[in-house]
Amino acid sequence: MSRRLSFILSFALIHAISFGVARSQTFYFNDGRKASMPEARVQGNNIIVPLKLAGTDGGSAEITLSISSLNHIEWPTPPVIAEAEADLKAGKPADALKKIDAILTEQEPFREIPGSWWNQGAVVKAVALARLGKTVDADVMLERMRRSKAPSDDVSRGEMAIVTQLMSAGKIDAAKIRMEKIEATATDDASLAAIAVTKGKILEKAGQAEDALLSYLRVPVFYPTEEEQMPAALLGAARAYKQLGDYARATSTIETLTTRFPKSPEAAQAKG
Amino acid sequence: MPELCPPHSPDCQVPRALSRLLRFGGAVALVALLCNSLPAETPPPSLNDIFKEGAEAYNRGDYDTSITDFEKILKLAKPGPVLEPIYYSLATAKLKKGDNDGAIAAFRVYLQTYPNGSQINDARAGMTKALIAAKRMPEALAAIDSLRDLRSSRGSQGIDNYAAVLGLTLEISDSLLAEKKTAEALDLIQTALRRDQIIERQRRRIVELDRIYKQAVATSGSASADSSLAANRDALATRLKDAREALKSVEENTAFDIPRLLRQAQCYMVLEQPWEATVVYNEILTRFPTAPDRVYALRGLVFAKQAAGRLVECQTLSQRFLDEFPTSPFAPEVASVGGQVSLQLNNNEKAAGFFGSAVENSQGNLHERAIFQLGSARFALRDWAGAREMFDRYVSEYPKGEWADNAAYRSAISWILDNSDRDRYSKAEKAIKAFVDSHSSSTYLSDAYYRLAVCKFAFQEYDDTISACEDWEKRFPNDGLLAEVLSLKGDVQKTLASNNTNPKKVQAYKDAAIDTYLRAASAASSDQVIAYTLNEAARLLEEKKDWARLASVFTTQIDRQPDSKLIMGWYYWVARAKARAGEAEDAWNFLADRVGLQMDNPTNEDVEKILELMAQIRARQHTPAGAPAGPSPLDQLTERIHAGSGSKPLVRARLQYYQARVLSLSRKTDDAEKVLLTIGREMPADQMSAALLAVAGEALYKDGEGAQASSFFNALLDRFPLSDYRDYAYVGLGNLALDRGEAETALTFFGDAINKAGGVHRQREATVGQARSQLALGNLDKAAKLFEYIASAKEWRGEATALSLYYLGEIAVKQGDLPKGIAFFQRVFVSQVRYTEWVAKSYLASGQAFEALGKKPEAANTYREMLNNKRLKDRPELSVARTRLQAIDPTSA
Repeated sequence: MSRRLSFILSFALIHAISFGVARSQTFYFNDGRKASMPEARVQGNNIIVPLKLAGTDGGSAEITLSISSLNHIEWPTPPVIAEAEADLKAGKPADALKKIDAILTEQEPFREIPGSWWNQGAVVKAVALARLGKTVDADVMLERMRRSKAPSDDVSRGEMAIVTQLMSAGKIDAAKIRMEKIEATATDDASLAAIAVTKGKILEKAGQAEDALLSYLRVPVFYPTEEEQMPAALLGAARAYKQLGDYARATSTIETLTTRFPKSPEAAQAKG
Repeated sequence: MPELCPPHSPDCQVPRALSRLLRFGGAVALVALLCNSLPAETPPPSLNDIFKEGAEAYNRGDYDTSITDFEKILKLAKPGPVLEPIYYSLATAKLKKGDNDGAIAAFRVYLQTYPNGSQINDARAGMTKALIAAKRMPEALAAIDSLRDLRSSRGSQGIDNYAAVLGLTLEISDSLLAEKKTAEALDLIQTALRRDQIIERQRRRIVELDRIYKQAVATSGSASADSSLAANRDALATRLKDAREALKSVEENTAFDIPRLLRQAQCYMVLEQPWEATVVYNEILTRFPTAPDRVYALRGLVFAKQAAGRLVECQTLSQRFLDEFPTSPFAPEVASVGGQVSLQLNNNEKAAGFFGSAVENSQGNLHERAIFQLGSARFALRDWAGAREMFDRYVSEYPKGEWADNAAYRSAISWILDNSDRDRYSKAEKAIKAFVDSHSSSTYLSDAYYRLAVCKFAFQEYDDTISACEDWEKRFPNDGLLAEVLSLKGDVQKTLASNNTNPKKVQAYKDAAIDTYLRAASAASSDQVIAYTLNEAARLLEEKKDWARLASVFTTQIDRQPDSKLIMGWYYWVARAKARAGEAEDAWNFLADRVGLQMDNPTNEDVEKILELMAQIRARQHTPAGAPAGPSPLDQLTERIHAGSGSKPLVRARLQYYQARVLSLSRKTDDAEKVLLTIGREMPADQMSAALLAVAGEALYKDGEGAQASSFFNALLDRFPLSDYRDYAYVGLGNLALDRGEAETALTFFGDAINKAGGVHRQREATVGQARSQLALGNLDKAAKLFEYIASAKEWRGEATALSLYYLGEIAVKQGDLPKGIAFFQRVFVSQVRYTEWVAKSYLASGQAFEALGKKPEAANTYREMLNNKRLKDRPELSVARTRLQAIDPTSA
């Protein structure tokens, strides 16, 4: 390519970026160039960017850029992730699993690129698998996330789902071993809250009501916005209070639970 | 009017002065952004000069000038994005000057004018700071709330200094706490970021600033130092540097989270959520095990545990606090808490230790309370002199203190309670009279007059005592002490009966005593007084052989209080009356029908009393000659209460106890001991009653099974801390300690048997133990005093007398007074012939004393007499006597 053409091409690319579609998926390359979909398209491990050739005759061409040369991407949140999360929340892990696979396929090539949604999809899948009792598959997913340098918070969330599954399957010792490993690395509120609840359950089963109470209370004390764990934490705390003979606090904790989370399974359990 | 050039104008240059300003950190550097908007080629000189002057003034702290200049610029310049840094710097200058209201207004203008400004969060923080300084807390709270989004780890615009936001949060929360808006304070604190989150966000902010800075470096290229691009670059460099310094300070401060956590815990304590506070304090102590500020957390945890009712943990933590922080200003306060919970845990010794520490180091109200509490703890410990010391000190230091009346009275009555002081009643009477004279409106007057009557009784001034009791009743007709006063009066009447020789008068006194005791029982509200007065009345009725009234009194009592804990005792008396009236079988059946209900209740000590009575009835029954043998007493009772091999260990053990008592009362003492030993060997100590632990423990000790005996005695003390049988345990443990050569420990146990357990069953044995311990410790005078006391006690006549006389002889010998020793030994083998162990020992000791005096014939005679004593034929001491006799008189063989 002549020096002139090269100049024209680079100008055209910048031009395409400058007038790219707002809010669409945008690729930012390490050399400062950027391109947006739908003009640009993904093909295997590459991004194909169309070019408009400058000059009196006009014309078009394509340039192929490797995904590995991406600095970051801007990708609107795939609505499926929220839907799958809602399925998890509603106790429908199988539905979540069905929905999330499409996103994972789409995001697969970008899984290590900042701005990708692959990790978010992967964690949903890991949690769904764990809840379905497929702990081995969930473990495989988590390993892939680790290799893809997923944020440790997301990995911890998946790990905690496996721990919870092991707990409900009565495999307390296995759950305990896993949880101790997570505890050493988890830093995000969601994982720490889940750890607190799980530890509370383990201690409660071991008959250590006071320690269980102190573990459950970590959620309202240190992670007050972690609403996913809050009902279980409050119910556990209420049970522990009862075991300690503090019926007044047990009652008031149940009131908090049924008032703040009236539709939670824990509220129903408390009322029952 | 001069105009500022548009942003990114290539023509805009930076005044030279500003580039110098940029070298100075902080908000001043932000002013440099203004360079973007200052036209350099055709600047109106006045505007440039104004800006330059304002910036320089800001830099040297002359905020008035800088404010004036910036305001001038804002008036002169055309509004637009270029003025953003001027607005921001103006607000900052006002804040630095201390013009809080001005700063608030200026920040508001900035926020309204630049809702997406590059330093919007810094402006919010600045406004919050100004609002706090202006004490406009509701607005400050709203302002800091606008920074809540910073907590989110995704999508926030960020701020250059996250730690500063935490500082503002804590300032506002302190203010809310001061205003008692605790829930709001807690809510705010809970939104604050943790250190790890601050570090993570600060790092992210630095990355972002660094990226922009690098872009600025690239864009500015070789622009001159005065160019706007260079100024922008330098401004970013300063912000980046500041952000890095902020990060460094947080990273270096590993205890950064403690102030936030302490405030959070404080909120929980105020909100009466001690468990939540415990979570927070534990977090501090776990995460910061060596931080000096953990002192606050440990103190807080002590209070949290107390509030949550975790007294044992609170006590342990209080001690830990005093060990770790003995010189802390909080130490007296924590010691006081430790003392209070120790009292609640009935650990008076520990309480006294804590309060002692509090007294030493405290001041003000705490000191006042600590002195009184130490007095109270010592009082509970029966350390009368120590209690008095504190109560007197209290009255002296705080004559109008809250507890002055109480302290003065307790000091006075401490004399009467001191059993070890022979003059206690005289001293008590004097002290109580002094109290009455000086505290005419005291709430303790009724008690004081009652105690004075007790003193008169002790002085054997019986008529005066009765008068005092009657006066008391007139003076305090509705006082709650009436039952005690009547009980005392009954005791006096009973004593008068026993001291009188005129049968008519004797009976008159006894009848009066019965009526008084029954009145006392009716007036009594405590089980203790009811039990005492009814039992005393019962004994007098028994002496009078008035079986009908005896049965009637207790039948009435059973009807009156069918759910009383004392009911088994009343059944006992009804049955006893029946038995004595010749209705033994009825009595046995009456008890058998009722005792079964309580056989598996280890806390009911009347069960053993009833079994004792049932055993007495059975032991007196003899099968007529030639009649077929009926079922054994054990089988009979077992069948009657529907017990068997499947019954609980306690029920089986009680049946064995019944069997042992029948055997003992049938003079089969060895068999009885074997049965009691079986209980000790086969039954679990943790399920036995106090009486069974006592008698089985004693049987085990006598049989040489010290370890098992010890476990029984300890179980008795652990499980029945208020039982009347505790003195068995203290005596048993004292004997075991003495056997191990631990005389000090033994002395403590024997003392506890009397002082803590009241010596109800084993006072004699405890006193003997004390005497033997003193002897073992070489305290001959103290030992002699005690042995003399035992030997002279009429009610203790028996083996204890023999033993005491022997030891008195031993002491005299040790003190070199051999004739006196011999006299004591002779008293034993002359007057205590039944107690062969002591007779044998006394013969030997007497013979040896004669030998030591060189009186060989007397010694030989003593040995001969001993060898001829048929009662001693199985005593091991005989061989020694034989050897000695041969040594003195070889012909005697």
